[in-house]
Parts: sequence; C-alpha cells; structure tokens
Amino acid sequence: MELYPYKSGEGQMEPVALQNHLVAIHYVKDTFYRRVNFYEAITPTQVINLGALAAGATSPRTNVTGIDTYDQEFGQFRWFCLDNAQIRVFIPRGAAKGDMKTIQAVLDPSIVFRNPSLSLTEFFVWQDNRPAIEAVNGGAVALAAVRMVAMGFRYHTDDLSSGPLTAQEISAYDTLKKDPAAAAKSPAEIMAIAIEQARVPCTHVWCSGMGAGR
Amino acid sequence: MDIALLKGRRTVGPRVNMATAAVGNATAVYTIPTGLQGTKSAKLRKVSWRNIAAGASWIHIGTGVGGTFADLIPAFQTVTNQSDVLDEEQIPDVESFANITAYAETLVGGGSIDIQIEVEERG
Repeated sequence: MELYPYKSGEGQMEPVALQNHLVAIHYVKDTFYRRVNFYEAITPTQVINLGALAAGATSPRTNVTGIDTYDQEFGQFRWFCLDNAQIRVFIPRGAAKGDMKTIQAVLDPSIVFRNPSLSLTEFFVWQDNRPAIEAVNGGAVALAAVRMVAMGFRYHTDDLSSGPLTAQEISAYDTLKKDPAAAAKSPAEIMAIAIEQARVPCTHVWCSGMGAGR
Repeated sequence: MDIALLKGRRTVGPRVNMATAAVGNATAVYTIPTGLQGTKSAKLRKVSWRNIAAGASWIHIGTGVGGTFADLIPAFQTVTNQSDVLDEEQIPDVESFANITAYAETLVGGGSIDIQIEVEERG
C-alpha cells in the first residue's frame, strides 16, 4: 500500500503509516527512525481558541499546546479556522510553514471549499513540538473568537528493533549484519542503516518547517 | 463538498445607524480588510435594514462619499416603520474593491435607518 503525506483517498484523509510500518521522523535537523506499533484517529476537535481579536489586530504568536502528542508519538493533522481570520503557521515556533521566497502562505476559512480534504493544511507533530500560530483580523468587525479545528491520526512508535520484522527487513538485516563494520552496532542501528540505504520501505514524515536557505 | 476555487468567505459589516441623510453623509457599511496576505474585494450578498423614520426613503449602496459616490446597485425604497432584506437572489453579482458605503436620500421627521450588509469576501 502506498502511503505518503497529503494523500487523500476518496477526498478524505488517509493515515501516513500503518501498524508495523517504518517511519523516519524529521524534526528540524534530527532524524528519528521508528516503527509504528499503534495508531488511532483523532476526530475533528477544537484544539485552540485564541479568543477575541479586535478589528485590524494580529494576535501574538501562540503555541497550539492542544495538539501535543505523548512521548514517542507523532501526530498527523489537518485543520481549518472556524472564524474569519487569516492564520500564519509556524512549526516549530521559530520556523514558518509555507514559507516561500517573498511571502508566507496563509490559512483562512475558504480552505474548506477550495481544498475540502484539507490535504494542503497537513502537518506533523513530533511529541510535544507543537506548531504556533498567529491570527490576523483584517476586517472592520471584531471577532469574538479565533478557533482552530484539527483532525487526523496519532501514532505511537517504538525503536526499530521492536515488533515483527518483515521478510524484507530480515533479509536486509542479515545482509548488513555480515558487514564487519556492523559488528558493534545494535539491531536498531543496523535497521536504521537499512532505511538509509533504501533496503526497506520507510515513510518520511516532516515534523517541522524548514527555514530559508537550508 | 464540491471544490469551489472562485468562492469567497461570507462575512458581515457592522450594523450601521444612518441618522443623517444625503450623499455627503454616506457612511461605511463594509470596510475592505487590510493587513492580510492578498488583495481583498467584496461581493454584495445581502442587505438588511429597518426604517425608523417617519416616511419612506431611497437607500443607495455604493462606494465613496459626496461627489465621488458611485452606486453599486440601483437604489431601493424603504418603507416607514418596516424592516426588509434583499438577498443574493435579488442582488446583481457586483464586486467592490473599495469600502462599501450607503446613504439615505431623506430621513423624514428626524428619524434614522439601520442597515447591515453581508458580503462574500474574495482574495
């Protein structure tokens, strides 16, 4: 089964990985190789309310703590804003999401009919490295609330040596284990090499934005 | 849900009490958003009003004030002591890139008219 970020089967959201799948979680400059051992759906839930926002005002950049996941977990989310504000997203707080050379892409309520699956809003969160948002009310009418509703999946992961290995993984492991350089390496380290050498399938998950010039 | 890339967001202007008649007193009923990414415009979708004056009055909705005022749609008549609504079935698909203003031609007996509009904000 081919799974990848932003995928939308039948117009709806699909998980980025299934049970026992391997994932490479990229967070800023770190990469964590993990195996999914459990995942579940997160139904559309209001994860933050920035509160009232005066006409013409911009909210302070605010951490969306409501979207934190537990240790060893990552989340796959899509979201939209219920209220008529324009949202700038940062993942993590210091890295703009949708950052292009001259502008930063924004999110507003029109996403629900321009991209009904919300696939273009998809983002990933590693543990509690949550995004932060700023809301802009450009209109002449004050907003009583700025609410974000998120949905998606949370994945619990273990290290690579956990769980049943597939035949392909066992084959890759056995091959790499014969290399004398691998003698001192742990099974998880050897499996990480198997991923890096593309000997086994792995889904790459980007849990942060990427700053300019990387 | 169908994909509708041309559609905008529905939003409203404030409820405005027009207590002074004539084009020179045209007042903003919807202000084009500023400070956002992108150039915004507004399509007029709904007009709601209440005539609290002692007589009927024509209401103009357009842009500008005084000599620069330009109607977006034909003026419509309001009846004393009554409220009414024009919705998108009855309003031409006009779009404004400037703040939308309105005024009453006359206000009989020192009365006033409450007005509020709904727009589809695009951009």
